[in-house]
Amino acid sequence: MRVTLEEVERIASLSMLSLDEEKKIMLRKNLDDILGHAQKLNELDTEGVEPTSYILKQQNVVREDIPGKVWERKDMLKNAPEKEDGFFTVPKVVD
Amino acid sequence: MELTALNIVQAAELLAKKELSSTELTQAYLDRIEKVEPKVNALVTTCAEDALESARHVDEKRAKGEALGRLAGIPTIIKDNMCTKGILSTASSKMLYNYKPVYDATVIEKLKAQDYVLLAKANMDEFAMGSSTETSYFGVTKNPWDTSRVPGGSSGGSAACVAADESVFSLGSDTGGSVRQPAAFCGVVGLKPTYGTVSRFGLMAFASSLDQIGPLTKTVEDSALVLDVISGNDKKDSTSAIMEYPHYGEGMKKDIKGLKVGIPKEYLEQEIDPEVRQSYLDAIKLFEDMGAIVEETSLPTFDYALSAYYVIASAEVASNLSRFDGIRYGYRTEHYSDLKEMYKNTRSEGFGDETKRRIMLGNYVLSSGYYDAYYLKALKVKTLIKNDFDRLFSEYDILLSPTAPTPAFKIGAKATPLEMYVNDLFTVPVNIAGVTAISVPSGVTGEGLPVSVQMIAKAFDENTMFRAAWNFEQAVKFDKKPTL
Repeated sequence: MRVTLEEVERIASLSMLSLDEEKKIMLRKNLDDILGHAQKLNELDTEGVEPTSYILKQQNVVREDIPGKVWERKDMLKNAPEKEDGFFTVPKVVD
Repeated sequence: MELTALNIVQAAELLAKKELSSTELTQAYLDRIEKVEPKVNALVTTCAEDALESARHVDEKRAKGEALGRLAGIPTIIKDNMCTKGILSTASSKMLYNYKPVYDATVIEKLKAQDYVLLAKANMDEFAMGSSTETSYFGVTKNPWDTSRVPGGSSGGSAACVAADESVFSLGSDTGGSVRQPAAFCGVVGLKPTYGTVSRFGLMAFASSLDQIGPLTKTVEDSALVLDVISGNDKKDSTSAIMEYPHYGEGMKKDIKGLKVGIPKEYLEQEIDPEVRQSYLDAIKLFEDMGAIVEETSLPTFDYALSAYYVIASAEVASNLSRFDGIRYGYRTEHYSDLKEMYKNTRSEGFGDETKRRIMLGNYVLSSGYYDAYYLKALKVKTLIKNDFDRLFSEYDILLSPTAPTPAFKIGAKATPLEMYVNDLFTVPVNIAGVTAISVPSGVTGEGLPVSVQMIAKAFDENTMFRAAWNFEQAVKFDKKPTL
């Protein structure tokens, strides 16, 4: 067994997910199976091989620093589940 | 011929000659949608009024003799993970069940500039994670060829709607095969352009280093036409390729005498459905008959691509989907007493099981203690896979493979995640290497299900691939259609 239930709980917490017992057991098994499959990667010798993040050669594409169109506040708030006085609202974070 | 059976080239010609109005054509598709949609469920949102208004606008411009775009009046369906201003864009997730973007994706701006008509938004696997469209919050899409089967995924709605004549063409997105595999299951043409060819601005990110938008069409010629419209450098996407873009489709109709076709032996060593295998072997023969030089070769890293893919894609999705917090848009839980509980409950209630699985997998391989063993290892294997493809493309113009190892399977048939993931066996290496591929129908099975082959070309060499695909399409004469 590669993945333990405790690890599932830790990862769920990192992922901001709450899982019931049944889901934890299912996910533990799923992760174990998938990561078991991924062990195959260890058959390949990657000593001295550079990792590839992006396939294109171009890097750090930057634009000229020119002020452009700014989003309208009312548009940005259109999809907010809760808003007040032109702001997004969240539960109280400071006591 | 039924109006809804027309391809882009045919419809555009009738419209240009004024033998058909855009309004008539759009209405024919809306009628067709009303008739078949209860059986197929390919769509999340239908935009009937907006579509008819766009169509009338095109008709008016045409009547006045004004200049019109290349897709003027052509009814189109867009996968629901691309932002359409003012129109629901849900990624088939409860998390975005009510999300109406305030801007258009770059591909939508480009289609609008060519006077297209947006008919509807297509169903998909939630956030594009899946190979069957079964993970959609809005219910599974049915395969038009056999409604007890899946249409493939994740662009299952985009493939099914073209196969069912609900649209002239559609757009999908392809991270590990999500355009090509559903295209194969539904008997249409599906294109995955080279990474960087089509702007991802306004496409909801799944795995940013692999995602590309591509068209699903009735013909290869249509596929090239749509790519020509949607491609190009975009300052809003820093991974958009900076180069001279070719005129896509140019030279497509020249013959393929002397074209060098590689057949990696690893392809035939896989577990493949016997009828898919036979169709693939027939395709190889057809290329020889057309004068191509076909040779066996080897892609030694083929067997590792799938494992590398699931590590890399999951890591990226864990990062990309961390933006869903119930604050700025989308779903927010009703049950919370503090901020952390709001995050957790929003995400736990808003994401489906497969999405949670991939987020968990991604955060696992990125977490301290496992990062080097899984994530970094996978990125190094990515380098080896890319080197393998580079070597093959120094010798061959295209590689030929089956698109998917089986025809469309039954709804509910894949019991475990790994069984589902194996579907992407032939498509995933293409995304990992960042090259381009197209899936073209090659025949039907004894049960009447379509099967396809995939042609792969080196990065930014779509035109060689379109030439191979067009010639194959003419030779194979696939003319079957589903009956609904």
